[in-house]
Amino acid sequence: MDEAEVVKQMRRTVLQMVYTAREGHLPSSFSIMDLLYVLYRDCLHIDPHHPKAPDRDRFILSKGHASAALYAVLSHFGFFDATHLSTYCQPGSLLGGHPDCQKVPGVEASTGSLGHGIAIGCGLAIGLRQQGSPRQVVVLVGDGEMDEGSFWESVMMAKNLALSNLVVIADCNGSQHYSHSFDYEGILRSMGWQAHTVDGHHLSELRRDLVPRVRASRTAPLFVRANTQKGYPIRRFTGDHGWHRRTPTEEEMADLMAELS
Amino acid sequence: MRAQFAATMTSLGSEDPSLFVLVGDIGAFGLRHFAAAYPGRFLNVGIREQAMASAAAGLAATGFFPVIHSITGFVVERCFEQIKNDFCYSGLPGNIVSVGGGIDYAAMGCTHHSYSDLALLKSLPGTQVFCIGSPHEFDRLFRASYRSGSMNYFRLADRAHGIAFRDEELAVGRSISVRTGHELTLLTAGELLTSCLEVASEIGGDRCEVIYSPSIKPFDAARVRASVTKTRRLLVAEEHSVLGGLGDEARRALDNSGFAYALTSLGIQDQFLRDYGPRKHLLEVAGIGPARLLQEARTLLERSP
Repeated sequence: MDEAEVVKQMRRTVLQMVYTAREGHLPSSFSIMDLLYVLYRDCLHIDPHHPKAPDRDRFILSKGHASAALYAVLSHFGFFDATHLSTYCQPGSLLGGHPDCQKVPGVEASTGSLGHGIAIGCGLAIGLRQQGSPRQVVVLVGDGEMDEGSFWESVMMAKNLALSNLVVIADCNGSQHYSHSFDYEGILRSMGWQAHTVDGHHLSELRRDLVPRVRASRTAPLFVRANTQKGYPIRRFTGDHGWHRRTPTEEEMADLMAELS
Repeated sequence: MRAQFAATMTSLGSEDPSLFVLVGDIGAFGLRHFAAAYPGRFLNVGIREQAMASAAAGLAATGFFPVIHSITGFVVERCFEQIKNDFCYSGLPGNIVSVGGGIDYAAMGCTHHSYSDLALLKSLPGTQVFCIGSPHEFDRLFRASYRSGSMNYFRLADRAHGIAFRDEELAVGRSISVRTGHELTLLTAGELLTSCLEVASEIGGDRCEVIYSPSIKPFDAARVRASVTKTRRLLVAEEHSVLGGLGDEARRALDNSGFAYALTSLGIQDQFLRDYGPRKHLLEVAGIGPARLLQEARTLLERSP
């Protein structure tokens, strides 16, 4: 199976999880699917069988409402058995609508309230640096999340502390109700970060443009703007906020599965 | 009290390489000796309390035992959600040391008062909450709990009550019987101990029993129950809202006790203390000044439970 097909299969998995649970955030999950796949496949040094090993990179999904995508990817790479996926949001499940770091192998932070992940990431980066660890801390945030004051507190803190082992990837899917289009790359650069823009849906481009930048040694924290489409590649999800936390009907489900086949 | 905070950090810093202190500008000068001795384990993150709280949780996740410090309102009320999610829900150990709790910043107005801090942090699962009234208390209780794995909160009063305790009296979840008596139990925490002891002396004899409870959570319910079983009268005095503070703990301790008792709970009622002036004046406005305590104690003593 080529890898485009692998990621498509993951999207079908997420769709099935959300459909079964009648709960979840499909479009927000779909916009980060390609990013998560490339990060876990090619970038992050985390042993799925020893997800707490001290010598690991740390990854935080700060936009915790996209947890279904993270679960599908973690399961694909062997952090836990795929049988858990069908329990998503059900009584007794490890896998909730927002991830619980005390329950899910591979989840570093219990996110769900926006603007926390980058600040937790700063603390992880400080701790790892103090311990002499060469590991990286990668935080995936949503662009809507960048409204939060704690996000900008952390941006300034990371610059002041020269947290060169911190990477923030912004899923710029433009979904937020009242979002304005800011030049995040320019703003972050002016605040002392390294900054780049990538196409968040192009696997080979991500491998070429994102992975080496995350792995490279730096003197400043790194910001990567990932241009994405909310709900990619499902056309009806893009630009229709009604789908943000909607689950498909039986009829829609058949259409969506067909679109993803 | 602030000097003891700095001294305890400096002393523990040499014993324990996992102690990490973060401040949000406030307290940076006071902690300069710690900062100089352990530069890799001290950060002044700037006026960014929310990021400080979450970053401290990140540090805890890499194995450090973090301490965050600022003025009560800024580090507790402003950061409540960070404390809830990033420490408590995530099961990470942490410590908050605040100054300016209650009405220590009397003339600075309500933005700088905090009489909800104990209730807020008590309400989060797994926390330990201490209302500290002397340097010795802080040193003992901090050392006993900072590595406990829970989120520990220490509200440091500006002024110490000046009463000396033995080391073994200062333990997590224990209160201290500072004076024994038979007719009225006075229960308090923090600097108000001074006023409570004055009340007991003024009334005289062995009529009043004074219980001092710096450990708000866990709370020493057994000692309150035992005392009130004897006195049948309880006066609680706290520099905190009457909603969710020490008085509520006492009430819970006496739930289903099976005997009648009279209880007066004095603290800040459901109001903002909008007046200015010295702390002494604000205590009077709040209804927890020495004269009011004495008056309420006498009223209780006249009542048969």
